[in-house]
Amino acid sequence: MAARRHRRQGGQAVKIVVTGPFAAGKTTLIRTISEITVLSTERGITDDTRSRKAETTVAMDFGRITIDRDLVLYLFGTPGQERFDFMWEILGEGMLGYVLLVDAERPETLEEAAGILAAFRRMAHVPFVVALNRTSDLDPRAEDRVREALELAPGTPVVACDATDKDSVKAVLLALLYSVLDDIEATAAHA
Amino acid sequence: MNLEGSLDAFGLPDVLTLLATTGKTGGLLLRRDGQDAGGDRRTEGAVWFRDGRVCGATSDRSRASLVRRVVGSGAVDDNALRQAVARAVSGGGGVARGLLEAGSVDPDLLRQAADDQTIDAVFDLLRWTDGDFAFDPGATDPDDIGLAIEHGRLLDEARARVEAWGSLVVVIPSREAVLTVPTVLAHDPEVSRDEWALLSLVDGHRRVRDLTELTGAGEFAVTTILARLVQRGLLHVKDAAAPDHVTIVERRLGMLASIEGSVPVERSPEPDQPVHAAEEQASGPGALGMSAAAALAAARAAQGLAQPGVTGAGAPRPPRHEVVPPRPEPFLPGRRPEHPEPVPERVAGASAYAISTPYGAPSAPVQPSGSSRYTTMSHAAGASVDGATARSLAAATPLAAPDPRHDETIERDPSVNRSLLLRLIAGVRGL
Repeated sequence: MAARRHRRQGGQAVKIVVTGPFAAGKTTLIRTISEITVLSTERGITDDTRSRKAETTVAMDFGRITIDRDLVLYLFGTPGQERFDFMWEILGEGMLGYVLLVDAERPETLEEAAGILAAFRRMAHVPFVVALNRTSDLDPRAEDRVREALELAPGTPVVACDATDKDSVKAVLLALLYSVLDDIEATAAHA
Repeated sequence: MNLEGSLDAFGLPDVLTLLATTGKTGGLLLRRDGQDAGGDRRTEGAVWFRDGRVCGATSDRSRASLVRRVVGSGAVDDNALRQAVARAVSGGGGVARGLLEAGSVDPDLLRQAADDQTIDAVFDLLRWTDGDFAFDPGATDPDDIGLAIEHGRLLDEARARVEAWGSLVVVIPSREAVLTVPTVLAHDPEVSRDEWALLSLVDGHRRVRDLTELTGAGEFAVTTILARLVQRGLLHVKDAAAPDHVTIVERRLGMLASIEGSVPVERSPEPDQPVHAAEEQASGPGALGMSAAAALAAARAAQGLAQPGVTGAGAPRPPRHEVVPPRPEPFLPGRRPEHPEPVPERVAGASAYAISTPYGAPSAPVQPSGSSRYTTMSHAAGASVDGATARSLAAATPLAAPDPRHDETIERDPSVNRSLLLRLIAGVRGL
C-alpha cells in the first residue's frame, strides 16, 4: 500500500463533467467507460419524475480512467434534477470540458438541455460537446434540430452516442478532447 | 514627442543604445505582424529600462517566459506557483516577482534565469526584420526583480547568439523539426546532465518547439544542445519518408523465413524505398550484439505496437465506426489500469452534502473554501481508492453550496497543455 501511495503522489488528474437532462444516460455513460465501479449517489425518486426512472443521481457520479502512470482522467456526472443545480458549479471547478448528453429519443428534453447548457456557458469558458444518446449514426435532421434548439456554434461538435457502448463513449470523450486541443492551439495562435 | 518608429528604419541596437545612454526608465514596446501555423498572428515584445539599464525583456508578451524558465528548471512547486499565479491574476504584479517576494524561489537562481531570459529575448528581437517600436516612459515590467544589465553586454551576448544561430539552423532546420533517438550507436555515448535532460524528452513525436516549451530553457539553449547531440549522432532529425530501424530489421528477418521454417515476422517489402541513414544503422555493430527478435520485441513493446498482423486476442479486430476522424497522436503504450480496483461499496442514500465513507459512516460535510479556479488535482493517496479519491476530490470541489457572492467564471486549467491533451487522447483511444 505504501508503494502504491508513493507512485500516485505527484501524478496529475484532469476532470471531465458529464451533464444533461434528467434520465439522459449520464450515469450509464460513466459506468460504461469507467475502470472502477462508479461511485454513484443515487436515491429513490419521490416526485412526479418517478415514472421515468426509479432512482436518480442526487450529488454526482464519479468514474475514473487511468491514462498512464502519472495521469488520471476523472469523470463527474451531474445530478439531472434542477433542484440540485447548485452542484454544477462545484463539480465543474477545474474541469477540462464537459459533455452535454441528450436523449435523442426524447426531444422534449431539449428545452431542459438548453437551460443546462446556458447555465454551464455562464459558469465556464471551457470546450464542450453535445452527445445524442441512443443513436448509432447521426441523422443530419436530428443534428440540425439539436443545434437550433441549443443555439450551438457551427464548430461545436455534435456526436452520436450509445451510452451503453464503450467505443461510442470513447468517441464522445475523444470529440471533447480534440475540442480542448483545438481550443488550446487556437488560444496559442491568437496569444 | 514619443520615441517611436519602424525597425526597418531604426535598428534595435541603435534604439537600445539611445535609451541606455540617455538614462531612460520605461518600456520599449515592439510589435510585428506575422504568420504561423495558426494563421495571422501579432507578436509583441518589450525591453524594460530603469535608469538606462535593462531590467528585463521578452520577445512575446503573451507568454510568461521567465516563469516558464523557472518552472522548467523544477525550482518551484505547485502550491507556490498557484499562489503566485493567483496573486498575478488579481493584479499583484508578475508571477516571477510574486515567487521571489514570497520566498518561494532561490533569488540567485531567479536572477540567473532572468538574465538568460533577457538575453534570449533580445536575441529573438534582433532577428525581427520588420515591425514597429514605441517607448513608453510609464510602462513597467511586472516581473522586475531588480535586474540591471548594461546594454553593451546585453547586445554583445545577443549578437553572439545571432551569429551562432546560422550554424545551428543548418543542423536543426526549424522549430517544427522532430528528433529521434537512434537505436544503434557507433560508440558508447557520453552525455552531460543538460544533454540528458533533453534526450529524456525526445520521443520521436515532440517538435523542437515542444522541447523548448517543456524545458523553458529558451530556444537558443535548447537548439544548441540538440544540434550538438545531432552532430554526435545521439539524435537524428526525423525524416518522415525514411523507414525506421524496426521496419528495416523486420524486413530483413522476413528474408530468413525460408531457412527457419517458421512464420516470419514480416512487413510488406518496400523494394523501391531508398536506403536511408537508418538502414545503414541497422547493420551497425549494436544490432549484432543482441538477439534480433528480442530487440525487435523490445522496440515494439516500447512503442506500444502489436506484432504485425496479430491482435492482442489473436484474431483480427472488426472495423470500428469512427465518429471522430483520425488525428495524429503520439505512440504510447497501451493503457493498462495500474491498480485493479476492488469492488467498491456502492454509496447509496448519501445526501447531497456529504459522501459516505467506504466504511459506511458519512463523512462530515466539507465546508466551502476559497480554492483556486485553476486547480490541478493531485492523485488521492488514501487507502481505499474510491472513497479516498472521492474525498480528495470533494476537498478540491467542496460538496456544499457555493458562496452566492462568488461569480467567477471557470476557465480552462492553464496547466493543461497540448502535450497533456495528446496523452489523454492516446490513452482514451487505447481503452
